[in-house]
Amino acid sequence: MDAFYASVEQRERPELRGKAIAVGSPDKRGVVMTASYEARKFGVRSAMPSKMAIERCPGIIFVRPRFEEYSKVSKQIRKIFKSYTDLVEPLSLDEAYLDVTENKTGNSSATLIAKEIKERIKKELHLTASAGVSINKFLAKVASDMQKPDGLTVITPAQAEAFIEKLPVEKIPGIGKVTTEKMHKLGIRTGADIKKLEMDELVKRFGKSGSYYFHLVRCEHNSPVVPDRIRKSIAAENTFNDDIEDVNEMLSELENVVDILAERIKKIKSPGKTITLKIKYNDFQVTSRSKTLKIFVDSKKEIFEVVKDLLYRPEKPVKPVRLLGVSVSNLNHENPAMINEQLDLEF
Amino acid sequence: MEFKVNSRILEKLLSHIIPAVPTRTPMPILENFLFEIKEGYLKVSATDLEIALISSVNVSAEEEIKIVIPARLLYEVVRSLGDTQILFETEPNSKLKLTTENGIYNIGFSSPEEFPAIPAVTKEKEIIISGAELKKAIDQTSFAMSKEDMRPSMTGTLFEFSEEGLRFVATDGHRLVRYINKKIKNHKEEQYIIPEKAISVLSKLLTEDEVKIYFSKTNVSFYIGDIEFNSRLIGEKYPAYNSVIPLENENEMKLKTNEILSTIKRMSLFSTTSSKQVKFTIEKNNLEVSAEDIDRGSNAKEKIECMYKGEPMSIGFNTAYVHDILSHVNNEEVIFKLHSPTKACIVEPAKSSENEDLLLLLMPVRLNN
Amino acid sequence: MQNWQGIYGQRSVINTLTKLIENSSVPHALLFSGLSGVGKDFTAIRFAQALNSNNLPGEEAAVVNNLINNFNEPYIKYILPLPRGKNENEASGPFEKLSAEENENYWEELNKKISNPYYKIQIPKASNIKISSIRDINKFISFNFSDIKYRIILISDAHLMNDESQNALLKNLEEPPAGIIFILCTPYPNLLRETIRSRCWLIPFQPLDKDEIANILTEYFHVENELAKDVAPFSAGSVTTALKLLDHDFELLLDKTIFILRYSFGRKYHSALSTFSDFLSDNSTESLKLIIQMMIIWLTDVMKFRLNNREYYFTKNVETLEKFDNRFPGIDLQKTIFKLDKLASSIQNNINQNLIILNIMFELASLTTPQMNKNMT
Repeated sequence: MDAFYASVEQRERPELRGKAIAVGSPDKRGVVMTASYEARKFGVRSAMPSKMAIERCPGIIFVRPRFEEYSKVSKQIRKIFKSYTDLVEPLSLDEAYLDVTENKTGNSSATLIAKEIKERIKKELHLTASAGVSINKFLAKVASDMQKPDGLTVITPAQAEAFIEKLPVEKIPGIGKVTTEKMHKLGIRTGADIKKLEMDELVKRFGKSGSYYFHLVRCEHNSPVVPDRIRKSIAAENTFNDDIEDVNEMLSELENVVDILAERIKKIKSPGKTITLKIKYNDFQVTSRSKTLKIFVDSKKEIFEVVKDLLYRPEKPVKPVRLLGVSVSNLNHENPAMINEQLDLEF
Repeated sequence: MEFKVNSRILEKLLSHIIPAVPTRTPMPILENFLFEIKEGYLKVSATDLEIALISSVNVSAEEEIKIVIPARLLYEVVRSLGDTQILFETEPNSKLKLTTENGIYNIGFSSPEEFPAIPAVTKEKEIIISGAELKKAIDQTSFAMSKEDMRPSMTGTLFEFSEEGLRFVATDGHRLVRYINKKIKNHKEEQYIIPEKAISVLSKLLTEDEVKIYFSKTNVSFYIGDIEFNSRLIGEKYPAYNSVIPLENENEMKLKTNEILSTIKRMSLFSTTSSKQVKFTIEKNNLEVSAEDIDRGSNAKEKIECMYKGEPMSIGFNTAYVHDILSHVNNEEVIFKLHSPTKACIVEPAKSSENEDLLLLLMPVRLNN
Repeated sequence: MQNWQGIYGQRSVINTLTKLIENSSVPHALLFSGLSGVGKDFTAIRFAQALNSNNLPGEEAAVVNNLINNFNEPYIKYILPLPRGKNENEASGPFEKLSAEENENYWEELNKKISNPYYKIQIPKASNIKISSIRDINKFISFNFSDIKYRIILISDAHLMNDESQNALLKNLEEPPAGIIFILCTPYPNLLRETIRSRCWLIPFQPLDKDEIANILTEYFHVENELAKDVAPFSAGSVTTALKLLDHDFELLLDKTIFILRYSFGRKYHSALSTFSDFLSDNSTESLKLIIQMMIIWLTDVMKFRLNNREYYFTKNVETLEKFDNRFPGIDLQKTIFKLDKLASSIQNNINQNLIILNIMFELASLTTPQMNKNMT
């Protein structure tokens, strides 16, 4: 989506249309999250300190972000995507990869589909999007960045190799400032320069990413479009060699499961609100019980408290149990730092 | 049947009763007043099955009668009339005719059989309390009642009779208030839970006047002037609140109530809307209060002088809860008694008057770092 | 013996309930299961009356009975699907956010139910039992009503509770205070969670026989005696179905059923289609199921005719029956009935009705001429 947060604000508030606006906080430590195209003309960019944005564009209007609104629009966009293919891999609220090799429309032209999606977004959501069409995720992403706003860029299979050869290394997704500098020092400036290097040379200099670069420039980057990259839930479970009948034994097994789960949650830094206990009985009947809390939790203790409650409510398992699992969903992706728990009086 | 009554007098009476008339209900009968004329009195009642209000006024009438009348319609008509005499007459076609100097208003009435009986509370045991004192007790405690119905007993206020005095307790599981009126002593411990709705209606009815209170197993009844206010009691057990009042909170911090309250007000502007967290960093005779709004990238901190005896400590609270608690301290100085960052904190006025005792309890917010 | 006045049939249910009262062993939760329109709500009301007015002096008993009859709380809390009000949120009470009109509409429907306990309340947009109604039970239970012997919580169409509501109810079912009795009524007990069912004492209601249906129709719905008797056999023991048949102009429905079958078998598709779509102009799956059911009954009658069993449903169309059989002698009736039944049970909401209609017509047509099928293969 083009200047997504800013465009949504301008759509919702007509008085902001045609003006230089920035979504973010204007105070000293604040940063610009998204700038409207009007503001970009003045050199305002995403992630720029607000102070600098005001210096470059003195009349700029700051708008507080409303993530709920954006995520609502994001869902609408995703719904449009899903009407073409189920292979939608969201990168963020406003970006996604679509694999339309086989799609729901019967239309074999990815370009036409991209055009149609853009038109639908414009017509239904009154927002503009830029699309890139190509043979793999990497090139599609690069293409989508080439013409903005409201652009549609196609890199055909025939053009692909030549295109990459000319591509400056800093434009390659995954190559940041540090790597760019490192490459420049080595005289590597374009895709063609990378191509000259052997695999082991690249790996020696850039580690694991080296092999990614090697394949990339040879158009061998074929990672599939993975639907729903944004995790919806995270789980851990354990199947037992012998069925368990004793509740205390179940509790101690669950404690282990929760232990592993808590580790995983901490790793991805996404605490969740909904905790689900899955029970598979020895007759393979599976039930699950969940509880949604008011706060995000990630600690073993907190999760286990809920799991304990779920094991007894509505009633403790009536049959021997073969598997116990716990999952946490309703994850907090936006701001993992914000987990504060109001403690309860223990009556 | 006919009787006359002044519109202003009737309006006042009805305005006292109307709070018991529900607006949307599965039982249409409840949207009515019960009108009874008996022995020269017009008695008006309303109930929503949870609370009931009854009041009466002297009228001259020959016959006795008992009818139900649409409450809102009657109240709105009477309210909008100027100061005038109204003649009430019942017509044969189930119409109640109101006649004033200039107008005639017909209102359909119906028979009273289905109007729910308002439970009678025997007057065996009488508690007399000044309206002002009862109001104070309610004002001190009602804010802490729970708004969630998971534990119904906590949605009400506990009236607990004891030798120490009459204790009023409210809690929502995050904070708790206990206010004791030491004048009303009772040798037997008794507990009654009065629902939130009754508390809020009662608080509006109370004046300086003396209040008589009667309890039955199922109901409580308050007599305030010529108004009788009746409420169903909550039938569940109140949580054992005494067990959560800590005894070993040895870290004591004394502060000027106004100062800390005004600091908290400013902090509430800076704390994140979702968590509302405020952090107290306490060192020797020095309290630093800070808040941060990560979403907006704003933050604030203030230093306040205090008297502190105890270990240095960092403890987090919900800004709104601290604010509520501090606004009910009722003394120039406030004492925080702390144990540790994850244990309940006692908040008390530095001094309390002879006949009362106030204790506020607040659970902290766990700090991240 | 308790007073179960006005209830038709359901002898075994009444016996069971009477025994429960006599032995003072009333379970705190009962599940009344059985077709819609067999008197579940009505029986619940009479049961509530029997429980509460038992041993009361006559006059007081009459007052209490009347209160219960009129669905008065706290004796009886009636829970049923309600529409969602405007701006209704989590904290809203079930009635709080309804418009005045919706609230009055509810009273009107409730009044109909009060004056006719066999009436099925119909409230527009009331497609499920709201979670707020279930939470309301929580509050209702929490008040001290020890001055009242039994408070009944009657949940009508209990299967219309969603998962969240069923979960919330479960907690209440666990250990309600003394004097609270839950009665859940539903034609589809299987849609309730196992944990709910296992907490309830199951009371199965039987379909009513045709005389009982006819009597209920005349007594409670003022249907003409003759017509009531005609429609009763087709009702499958449910007052609700009988009323639906009457709604569709029963006499005409009989004719149409025969027409559709005759046209379809005779491959007069256009006529069959227009009769069919004419009947289904309301587009409801209910109507579709109804007419398929009628077709099955007709074909059963034809079968009886072939077997010389004269106990017909279509008693007024015996001549047509004979003609029909003469005209289409080769039909495999059993197979046809089986196919129709399968189609009827596969009908879901939101299905393309035209497709089903065509399907039925062609299925029927294909059965008449096996030669033609052969040619085609």
